[in-house]
Parts: sequence; structure tokens; C-alpha cells
Amino acid sequence: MGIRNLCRTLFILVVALVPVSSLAGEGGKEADGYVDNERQTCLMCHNTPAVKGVLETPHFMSGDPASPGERQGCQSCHGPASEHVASPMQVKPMGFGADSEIPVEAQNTVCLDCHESGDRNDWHASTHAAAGVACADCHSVHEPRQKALNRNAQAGICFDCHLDKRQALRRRSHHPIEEGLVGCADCHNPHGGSGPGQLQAVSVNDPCTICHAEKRGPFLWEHPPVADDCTNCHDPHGSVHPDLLVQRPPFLCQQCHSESFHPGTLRSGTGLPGASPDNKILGGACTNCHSQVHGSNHPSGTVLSR
Amino acid sequence: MKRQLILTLSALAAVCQALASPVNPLLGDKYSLFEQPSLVRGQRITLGVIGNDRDSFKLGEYTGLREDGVYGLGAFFSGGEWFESDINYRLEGRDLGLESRQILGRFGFARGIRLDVAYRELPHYELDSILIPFHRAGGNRWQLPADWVGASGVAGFTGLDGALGETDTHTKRKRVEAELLVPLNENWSLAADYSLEDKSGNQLTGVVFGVGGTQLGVRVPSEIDRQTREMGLSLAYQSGWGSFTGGYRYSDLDEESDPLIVQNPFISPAFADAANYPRGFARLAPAPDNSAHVFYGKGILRLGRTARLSLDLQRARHEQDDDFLPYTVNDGLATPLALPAPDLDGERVISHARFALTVRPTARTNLALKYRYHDRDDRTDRMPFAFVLHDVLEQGTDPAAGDIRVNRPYSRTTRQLSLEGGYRFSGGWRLSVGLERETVERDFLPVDETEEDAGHLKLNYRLGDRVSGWLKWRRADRSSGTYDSNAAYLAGHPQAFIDANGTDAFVNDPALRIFFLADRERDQQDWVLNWAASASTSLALKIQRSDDDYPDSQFGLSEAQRRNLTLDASYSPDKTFSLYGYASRAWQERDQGGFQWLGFLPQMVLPPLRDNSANGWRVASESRSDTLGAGLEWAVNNRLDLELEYALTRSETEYDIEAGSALTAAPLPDLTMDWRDITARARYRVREGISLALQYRFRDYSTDDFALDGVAVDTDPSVLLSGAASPDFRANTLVFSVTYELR
Repeated sequence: MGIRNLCRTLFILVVALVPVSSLAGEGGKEADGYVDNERQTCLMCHNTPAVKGVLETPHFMSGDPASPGERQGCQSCHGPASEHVASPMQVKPMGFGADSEIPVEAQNTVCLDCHESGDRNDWHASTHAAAGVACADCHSVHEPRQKALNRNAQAGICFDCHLDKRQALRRRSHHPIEEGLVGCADCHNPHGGSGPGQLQAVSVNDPCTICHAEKRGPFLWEHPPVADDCTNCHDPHGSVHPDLLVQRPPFLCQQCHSESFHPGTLRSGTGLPGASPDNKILGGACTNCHSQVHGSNHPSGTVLSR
Repeated sequence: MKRQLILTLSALAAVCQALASPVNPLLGDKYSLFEQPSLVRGQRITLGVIGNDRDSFKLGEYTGLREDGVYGLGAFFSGGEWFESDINYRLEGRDLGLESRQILGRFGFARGIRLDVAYRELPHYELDSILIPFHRAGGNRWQLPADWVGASGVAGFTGLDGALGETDTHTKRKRVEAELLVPLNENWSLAADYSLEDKSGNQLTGVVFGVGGTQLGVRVPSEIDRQTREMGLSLAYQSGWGSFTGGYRYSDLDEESDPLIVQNPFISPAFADAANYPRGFARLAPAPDNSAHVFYGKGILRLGRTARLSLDLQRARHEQDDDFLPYTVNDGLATPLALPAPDLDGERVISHARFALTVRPTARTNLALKYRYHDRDDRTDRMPFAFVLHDVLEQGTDPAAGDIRVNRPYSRTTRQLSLEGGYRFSGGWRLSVGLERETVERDFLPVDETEEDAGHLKLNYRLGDRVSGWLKWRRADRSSGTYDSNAAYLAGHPQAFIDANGTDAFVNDPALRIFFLADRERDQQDWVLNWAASASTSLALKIQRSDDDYPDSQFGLSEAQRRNLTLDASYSPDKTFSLYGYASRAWQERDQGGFQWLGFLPQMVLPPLRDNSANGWRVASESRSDTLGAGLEWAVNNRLDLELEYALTRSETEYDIEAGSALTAAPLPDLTMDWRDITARARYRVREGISLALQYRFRDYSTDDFALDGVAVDTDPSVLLSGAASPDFRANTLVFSVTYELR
């Protein structure tokens, strides 16, 4: 069976399962079982700074009818508490995070009941959802200073799993992420996105040209790998080469250019000072002349030098 | 009282700003002395001083702390009800005193209306001690001193030393942002945003005057002065059955830099007389003003409790109509041949659609089907241009002689289909499988269409209460069908030239495969192991491997490999003390080949020559980056917090060169970087609401780069280089701050 036939078959299967899935939920909230005056009731036992921090967060913003604090209070997220109050050790309220016995999907449903919109539209189809990531793995809703929502500190959350990216940011050339000026979420939507790599935008180049709009074009003389995908030449997370390049010129350029004369010529230590200095390897190498590698709008710029 | 406090805070913030000289900066690179608040209410102000003992652009790369001295710092937060009204507000200032200063504000009004405002600055200091013989003669025009002695090469510049002046390259972004959210009723809301960014500074730009065997050039710090505006308006609907957002976004770039004009320092018999020193100049076009209009709609439909259908549609148009510059800045080089149009009238239309359907037929099973269509259609007209090469040759106008080129507006269409499924077993095990298919169509390139089929398998495992992790394997095969090396040649020349030279001519060697078009086999494996050795000790191991093989690529990139190995460990016996450490090694290897031919030989006869490998070469590069880090965080008591952090990164890139017998090659030195940080912080709460903080940071940074080190302005015989060296510094930074907090 070819992949097209397989896809077609699976598409039919997936669509057919939609009505079945509506019967397979984790169970909705109970309509009753809520205790009154819950904030005081809960705080009688759960009176630690780690718990009470939530009172300082937008979830308990007074006067906002949409905030959980103004609805059922703690029970808005943790579920009806009357049985727990009656038998504190036997009946546990809904818990969140890695230590919770509640399946991740059920935990996330609580958050998505209010937050499944806007930038979180695609959560259900996101890489993180497929990987079984819980909202509480990144968001500490009881913390007044949520790292995940703070550009200066957000990368620390991402690095808990994306260990290789933490390493990449300590290379010679990197975006100022560790410096707290750019956040992972400036480019990525951890809740899922329409583009590759859970990007905020619909293509790889779009987030790059938000800050680097001068490279957006269209140009008279386009450079195909630039128009194709910025990551053909750049590693946005960090590189041992200058300008986030995946390889340094001239070798970067020679990955695609092998012509008579200088493009195909081998560059090596013979071009260093003391031997026969070669401007194709020193300074900016190829960009000493072809400085308009992202595109040129000059009528004589056909070789991207004007 | 509250009013007085706010006024006091504002005054103190202004003082902090005043303390922020444009030439002093930072605190190290981290700002942990200053709280990172998303507090809702309360007042806090932090004032401090910072001492730095080293001048270095690299030290202050993103903060501006690039000169030694003692400087003032500040931060503030204020939040609560605005003068006892119904308005909630949060105002926050960060990095005041640094060039990376930020002021953020959020105002919440009745009926859930919210206004966010922000002002941010982002500096980037790149190279100091650049040497150039040019001086600015207004705008972005660079001229040589009146007594300059022109020559056919750098060695003949007898007045170079006396003409050199020092400069640097740096940029600064200043950005204001505002975002307004207006709930219209329980279901509908309206949002609008606006941002304006001003970027100024300069960048080192190469300017070539030469042609063919006479390649001459200079590097100068070209001016940057541009503004980017973004604005958007959207309407959102949310209810129990789903949600929808539709809107419009606009973005434009206003390039205010003048064209870069540089006087030619060379005199060459290969150039037209009007192009030589002192008459000759070069002129580069700045990036064109451009704009983007985006209409979009995205929504999600809840099909029962566990099925979701999301749809994302977008239609965008990128356009620019900047007037063309003349063919050359040098009068007399261009014939009266007119430009084919006054401007490009460039237009690129992007159509995007994506849908995703996910279902959970059982509580343990999930399925996802996704389809993505992305089309970038460059509708810019194609026109013939009789160019003046590098402002030094007279314009040729013979279509049969290669004097005319035709622009190639590249378009690309991508279609992706994927199916994924997963099953959650009991005990925390989970198995996921996925299949993907992607086709990409392009024009004016050697390959019209590539197809890639991929599949992945992932197993999440849990062994008892202490061990968990996952294994993932992914394989992707891309095939490109026929590879037409002469596609770009055919599309880029007028028919008369093709008729005169044949259709089999081409520019690139036919044995080269452009890597993003070439057949590719990609294998990726990840393994993650988390071990909770005890209630207080945890270990994590992550191994990643990615191999790209280009089986048909004799020349060009033929292999690319990545490896990552990371080990994390932490020990936290209680909430007051934690110890952590990590070590990682990343490898990147790339293998590529080429063929050297210094002659006007039609490349179509190369294949028999290529069989004799005397002119062939291969370069294999291997980069290794090692990072080692450790730290502790200790709340000694309810007054004193201590932190200690150490991080070392060492990277090394080796080039292994194999040259054919007819070629001469010598080894390249390794490229290296050593970066060591030691940071110690202490925070002491004097009493409720007042705390002191002290931070010491040591940074040791050194690099070796054969493209810069030992390369003087006049090292190369044909190009005046910048004389910049790769950065090295060793700096001690001490910060002391006082925080006053009122809750």
C-alpha cells in the first residue's frame, strides 16, 4: 500500500472516530459538591507561601468575573472539594504536575476549558501535546512570578527539556536569549503553531523577518537559499561560526557553488598571513565582495555585490 | 500617600535613566539581582551601582557594558489600583542604567479592557578597533583623504598608515509597543496592536571594485538607519463549541539609510578610466522599503470533549516599489540604455492553509491528522538588465555576449500531510507513531519538485517510580528526480545568449547538488533517561543523533552530522538548598567536495576531467562544543539567600582538507572559543520590605579565528580588510543594589 493510499485510509479512519471520541472523555466536572467560602476553607490547611502565592496572580484578580478566584475559587481548577473536606486523607482533590496521578490530558483539559483559544488554538495538534507535556510542567500558576511568562527567565523552562538548546546558546554567536532580551516565545509558540518547529508564524522565514525586515524583499536579485529557508545557512539557536552561520564562508558558499575560477577554488591554510593571503578566506571571505547575500535591489547587482 | 509614592518612584526611575550614560552598561549578562516580577500589586524599587574593570565590546555585546568604570543601575515595579480607581495597573522598569533598558506597563480597565505598553532598547556591539582609511563625507558616502595615493593593489597604498582612522560597528534598536484588548461581550473580543522599532548604527560591508582576475575591494562600516512598523487588528469569538480569530496585520520597513557610496582607492588598467581613483566610486543599494499585508483567520471547533478540528488560513502580500538606482554611480560607464522599469514593482503573494484534526477515541488513544499548504508566489515581473559590473566596466549591451541578465523571482509551494497516533499504556508507557509526506515545488532551480517521506516511532517509558524517559527514531528520505544543473542559467540569460552559447551550458558543475534540493537520507535518534535516584537527587541524560547523507552529491555538501550528549544532575534535600550540575558535548560534522578549474573551460566537458581527481578536493569540518556547569542555590535562613554558579564552554572547529595532486593546500588552524563564567550572588533581607543584594561575576572569554587574527588592514594584496581581531577579554564585575518593597 502506497503512502498516499495509507494516508487516505487513515484519514477516513480518523474522521470516522470523531463521533466515537466524544464518548471517551475524561469526565466533566461535577455539577455540585462545591464547598462555600472555599478560600478560607482551603487555606485553613493549605496555608503555605507556595500555595498562597496564587492569590497574588491574575487567577485571583479581584473584580474579574472570568478569573477562577471569582468563580469557584480553588475549586475552579482543583474540582469540588466537599468530599475532600469531609475526608481529607481519603479523597484527594485534582492535582497537577509531574507528581499527579491524573492523566496529563485530563489535567490539561482543566486549563484548556478557559484557555483553548487564540494562540492556544493548536494545542491539541502540537508537538508538546503529542509528547504528553502538561500545562503545569511549564506554568506554575501558584507562582506570582511565572518564569514561563517572563522573557528574561522563560528559556530556563524550555531548557529543562531542550538541553541541546541551552548548550547552543553558549556558543560564540547567539541571539541574546541568555541575556534575557529575546525569549523563546518570541519565535516559537509552545502551544502549537501552523508553521514548522512550533513557530509563531506560518513559515521559517516569517519570524526572522519580523526583526530583520530588511531581508524580507522581494528583491530584484534574489538568492534562492535565502528565499527558501533562512536555516539553510543560519542556526538561530547558536553557532561556533559568526553571524549564526552553520558553516563559515568560503566553505558555506561552496556547498552550493562550484564553478570555474574562484567559486570552485580550494581555500586552505595557503591563504593565511605569512603564505599567500587570500581574501576568499580572510575577513568576511566571500562576503568581502558578495556582501548583499540576502538579495540586491541594484540593477547591476546580479552577483549580489551591489 | 500612594500618590506621593508613585511620584517618588517616577522620580527615582528618572534618576536611574539619567544615570544611564549611553556609554556605560551592565551587570554581567544576567539580571537576577533584580526581581523578575509578574506581580499584580505592590511597589518595589531597586537602586544599585555596578563596577566593571574591563573595556570590551564582547563583554557589553547586548547590554552596552563595554567600558570600565562605575555606573548606576535601577529597576522598579508598581502595581495595584490606579489612584484608588477601577483601573488595575502594573508598571515595571528593568535594566535602567543599561542600554538594554525596558519599561513595561499593563493597565486593566472596567469590562476586562486591557492595555499593554512597552519600551525596549536592544544594543548590539560587534567589532571595535576597525581601521579604515576613509572618512564620512555626508550621509553614507565614504571618501579617501585628499593626499591618497592610488595603486593597483594594497601594497601600493603608500599613504595607508597615515590615513587610517579607528571606528567600530554596533547597532541599537529602540522599540515601542502597545496592545489593546477589548472584550465586547461574553463571546467576542477585539484586539489591536502597534509597534515601532528604530534601528540605527552600522555594519561592516564589503565593496568590490574588481572583475575577473582583478578582484579588488574594501570593507567599510555602512550606515544603518531604518524603521519597522507593525500593526494588527483582530476580532475573536469564543464559545463552548470553539473559537475563532480573524484579523489583519500590516508591517513595513522604512529604510532611511542612504546608498553606500565608497571612493575607489585603486587604479587598475583593467578598469575604465572613469572608475579609477580619484574619479571612481562604488555605490550599493540599500534594502528596499517593503511592506507586508496579512489577512488571516484561525479557529478551532470542539467536536465533543476530545475531538478538535483547527483551521488556519492566511493570505499575505509582500511588496516593494523602491526606485532603482542608476546602473552605476560613475558617469561615463553606462550607455544611454535605459532601465527596463523605474522600479521593481515587486509582489509576492503567500497563501497558507493548515488544518489539524485530533481525536481521542479512547481515554488512552490519540490520533492526529494534519495537512499544511504553503505557497509563496513571487509575481514580480521578469526583466532584462544590462548591468555595469562593480562600477568599473563600461556597460555591455549585447544580448548574445552575456552582458544582460534576467531576474528570477523564486516561488515555492509546500504541501505536507502527516498522521500521528499514540497509545498510553498503564504504568506511564506510551507509544507514538507518525508518518509524514512533504512535496516542495520550486522554479528557476535545478529541481522542480522534491518529495520527502518520513516516519517516526517514539516510546515513552517508565520503570518503577524512579526511571522514565523516551526513545525516538525518525527516518526521512527526500528524492528530487531530475537535476537540471543549467536551470538557473537558462532562466537568467536572454534567449539570444542561449542561442549563441547553447542550452547545455551551465554555471555550476553538473556533479554538484545544491543540498536543499538534493536527494537526502536523514536518520535521527533521541534517547532521554530521567532517574530520580532518591527523593532529593535526580539525573537526566539526553543523547541526540542526526545524520544527513546526500548520496548523489559528488560536489557540494555530501554529509552533515550532529550529535549531542547532555548530562544533568541535581540535588535538593529540601526547599532551601539545591545543587545542580550539567555537562554536554555537541558535535557537528560536515563533509563537502569541490573541483578547482582556473580556466575558461566550458564546464560541460568537465566530467572526463573530473575522473582525474588531480583537481578535486574535499573539506571535512568537525566542531565540538563542550559545556560544563554547576551551581547552588541556598536559602540560608529567612533573611539570606546565596547563589553560586560556574559555567565553562569550550568549542573547537577543525578542518581536514584533502587536495588533489594538482592542487596546493595547507592545514587551517583550529577555530576555538573558551568562555568561563563564575557568578556569586547574595541577597539579604534587612527587614520586611528592604533587601540588599551583592553580585560578583568573573568572565573570561577568548577566541582564535584564522580569518581575523593576525590579519591587518593591508595583509591581503587585493582587499583592504578591517584589521579587527577576534575578541578576548577577562572582566570582573561587581554589583551592589538595595531593594525597597511595599506590599
